[in-house]
Amino acid sequence: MLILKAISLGPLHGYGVLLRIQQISKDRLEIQQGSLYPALYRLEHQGWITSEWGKSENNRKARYYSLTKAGKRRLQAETEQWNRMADVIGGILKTLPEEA
Amino acid sequence: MIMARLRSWLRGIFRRSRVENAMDAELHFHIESYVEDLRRSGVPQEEALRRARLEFGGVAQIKEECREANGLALFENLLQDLRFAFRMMAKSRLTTAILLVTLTLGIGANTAVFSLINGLMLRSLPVDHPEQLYFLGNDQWYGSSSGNLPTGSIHLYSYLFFEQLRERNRSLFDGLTAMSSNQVAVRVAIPKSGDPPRRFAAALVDGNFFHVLGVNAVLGRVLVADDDLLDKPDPVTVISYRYWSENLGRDPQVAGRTLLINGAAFTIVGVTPPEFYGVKLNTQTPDLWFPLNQQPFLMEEANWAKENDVYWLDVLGRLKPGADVGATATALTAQLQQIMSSLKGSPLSPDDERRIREARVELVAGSTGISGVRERLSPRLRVLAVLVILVLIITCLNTANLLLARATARQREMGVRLAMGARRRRILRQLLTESVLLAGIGGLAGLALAAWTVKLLSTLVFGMNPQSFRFTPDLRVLSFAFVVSLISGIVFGLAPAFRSTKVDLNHALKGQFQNGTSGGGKITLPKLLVSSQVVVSLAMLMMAGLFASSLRNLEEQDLGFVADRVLTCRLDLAAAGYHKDDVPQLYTRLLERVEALPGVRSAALADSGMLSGSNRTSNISIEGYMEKPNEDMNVQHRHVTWNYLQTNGMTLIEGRDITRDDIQESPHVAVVNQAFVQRYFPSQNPIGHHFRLGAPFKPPGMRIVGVVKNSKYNSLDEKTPPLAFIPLLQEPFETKPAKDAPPYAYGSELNVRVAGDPTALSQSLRRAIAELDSKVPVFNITSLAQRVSDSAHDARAIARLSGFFGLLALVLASIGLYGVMAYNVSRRTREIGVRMAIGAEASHVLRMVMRESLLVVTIGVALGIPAALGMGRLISSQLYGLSPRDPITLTFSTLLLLVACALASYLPARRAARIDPMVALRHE
Repeated sequence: MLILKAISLGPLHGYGVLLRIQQISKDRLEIQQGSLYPALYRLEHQGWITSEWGKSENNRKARYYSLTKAGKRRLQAETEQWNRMADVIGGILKTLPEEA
Repeated sequence: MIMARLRSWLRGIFRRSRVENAMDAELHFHIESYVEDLRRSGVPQEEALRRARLEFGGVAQIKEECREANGLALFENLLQDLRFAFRMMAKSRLTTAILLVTLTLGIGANTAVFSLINGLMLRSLPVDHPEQLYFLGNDQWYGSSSGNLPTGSIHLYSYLFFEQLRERNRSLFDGLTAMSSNQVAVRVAIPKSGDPPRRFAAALVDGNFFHVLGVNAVLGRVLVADDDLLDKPDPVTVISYRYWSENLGRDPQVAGRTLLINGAAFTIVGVTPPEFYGVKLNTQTPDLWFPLNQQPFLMEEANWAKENDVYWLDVLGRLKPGADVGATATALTAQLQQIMSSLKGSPLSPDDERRIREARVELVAGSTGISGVRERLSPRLRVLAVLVILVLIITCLNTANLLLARATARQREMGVRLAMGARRRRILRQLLTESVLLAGIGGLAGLALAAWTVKLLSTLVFGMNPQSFRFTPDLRVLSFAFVVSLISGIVFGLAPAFRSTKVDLNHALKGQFQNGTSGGGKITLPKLLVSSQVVVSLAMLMMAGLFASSLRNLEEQDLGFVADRVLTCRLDLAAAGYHKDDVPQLYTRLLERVEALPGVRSAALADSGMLSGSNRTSNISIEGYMEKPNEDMNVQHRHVTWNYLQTNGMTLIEGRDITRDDIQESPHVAVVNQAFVQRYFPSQNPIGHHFRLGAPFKPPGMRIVGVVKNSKYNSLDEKTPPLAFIPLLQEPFETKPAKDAPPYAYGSELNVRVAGDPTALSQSLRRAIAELDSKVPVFNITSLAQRVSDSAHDARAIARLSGFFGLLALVLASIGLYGVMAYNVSRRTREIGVRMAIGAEASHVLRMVMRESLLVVTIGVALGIPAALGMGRLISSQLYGLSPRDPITLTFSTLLLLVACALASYLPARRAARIDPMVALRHE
């Protein structure tokens, strides 16, 4: 989901995705760099993102990923689900001490 | 999404290198970018590189994960497994070769037999909507009958009958049509080609035949109702695709060309489709199709369309969709009985009334055609099917055993794999890939073998004209071969695969294999497999033995005639234009001319040949004879000249032979065989009694003048039927003296007894006949001994096939036993060494090993004997002159098996006995 979110802000290459995630999570999330790629491949295999080759900032060939329509829908659905989940858990965590 | 998945998959499969390169480039880009960033933040180059690599993780591992994420793992692994499987196969060449050869045989034999079954039994008629076709009665053979009203389940109809039936049934059927049950042999010449006429099989069909079947011509047109009008002036014919290809060079302008049929010009109007062979599936399918109105000309007979009591047509129709078959048959039976009484006219005799009452119509589903071949061949096909299934079972058992041995040998390899973290499922899959690959290669080779053998089988074993049938592998055959290979691959692969992954890691790595299974007397899986092989082998040996004895019985029996030194040939006297008045003189001159040839002892003519398969049968009536109710009064009769019995070496027991003086004008006589006497004159001297063909008896009839010893007439395995030899020149029925009528029977079979080699006479015989009349076609020159041998052909083919497969089974079982015992001995080297070190003698060790394998074999034999007896019962109808439980054959098969097994286990036992205790103790 994080990857989808990162890409939803605009096409990115793999390294960019990593930087973006670190940036939006303000370095609080530690990701093993290599494990990003299997995840990207899986998302692409499932049709949520597509990729094309382009030029990077320092003028090198890089693979850029962007979100597909299905990916957008998916991101939205996951976000909603996450929010609902977070609400429920948050609610439970709040009510727990009063009853105990 | 599915599309995306498919795309990435296909890309992965077909553009693997590009995907790999892209992956490489992407990962490197990442690492380099990171290094760049680190360097910019002040980290030195070396350190940046190190940290980037460290934080990134193992590149190869990530790539593998990426591949898996791509959905490529399955395919990747398969490729890997296949590559590995090929390497394994290349490594153990001998085992692989044995496996492949036996698998090819097993699968190939099954596929070939299935192709036959498919072609004969399963394939639908090549017509429009075959499931709607029904035959009125099951007329499996060719025939025609005349005289008495037919009764029981009717399958032959007269033309008048058919016409009335068709008139009345416009509501029940979408078309009713008929064809002559008999095929006709016609002489076909292509005008201006200069080639002599050749004989072809032809069918006579009603004008609506093709229309009702829904068969169209590939060229020109098919026969239509107009072609079949009785006074139609220009005769036409439709030719088969085969005839068109083989004899007319696929001439595209063939419609409108002329053929000379029995000397008359016929116009070709069209060509039937290549897959169309008619509706009857028999050994010879027709090459030419004529309308029924050509019957008098082509058969050289009276016009049967006008005869009330000649039954010669098969009737078939297309039932209206949704019609009830049972109700239709009942309605047809009622009509049949009405038509029978109205055609017969009054008054009806009590016998006729009974016959009409008992006559009925059965509707026989015609979707796969009717076939005498099917009936005749199905027992043999069944034998063949059993045989090949057994071969496949034994192949699978053998393969499983060899793989099992290999699996045990590979336990160390598996141990290493498991220790390195391979999942068990993964290893299982790889082992199954190996065995399915084996089966797959075997299956492909088997398919090729089948395509090649099916023709051989159909001609050799079944005596079919391979061109008449299309046994080309269709989708059904292909899927059969595929499924058989797959199943056998899994079946024989599963047990070894499970076995080899069930290892104790510690032991496996140390090279100590599980020893729990090595105990001498214990029944292990490999031993069980060998026992099963013994069971199947014994059953197959029994079968082979029974067929071999049966063949010997056939060939060595007393035929009742002497086949040696007799030359036979056929003459077509009708073709040369001989009539009834000409034949007496012709026969005399012909026989005198032939007997004058050097080396000829005697010569004679007959209407049909010994063991030629054709015969005449009639019901007879005997003067003063009290028929028992339902007594079978049918006897066969052969029409022969003087010297016939002597030429063929038959023995006259009583009375006299047929002589030159037995001509039409003299009193009519007959010589009967012993079976005739036994049936009708069990306690009397038959000589002097009178009988005639047909009933009731009318004087004068034929006087029995002699009795001849029984012999085989039609086939080697027949039960001798009652038979009468009648002088060829005496017409058995009263006929009007028409000047150019043909005789009742032509002397179209010439038999010559010679002093030396009969076939050496062929040329001079041909020349002699040509000198007499060059217009007489002479064909099928062969020796009588050859014909006897041809007659045993089927039995011989079956005996050879089952013998071959039986021996194969024996060899495979021996290999299996040898393999298991040799392996056991090598595993127990140390144990045996210890035994010998503490005083066991070599002979004792030998006995010990032999005892162990004897147990395996004994179990197999104990179960195999009932199996063998069951097998015998299954084929009892195919056996001649011996019981399916024949004790000699059973004993012999068992002994053969025991000897082979003893030999197979003696070698490893001897090796065990020669073990040097010192060497053995240092072993491992």
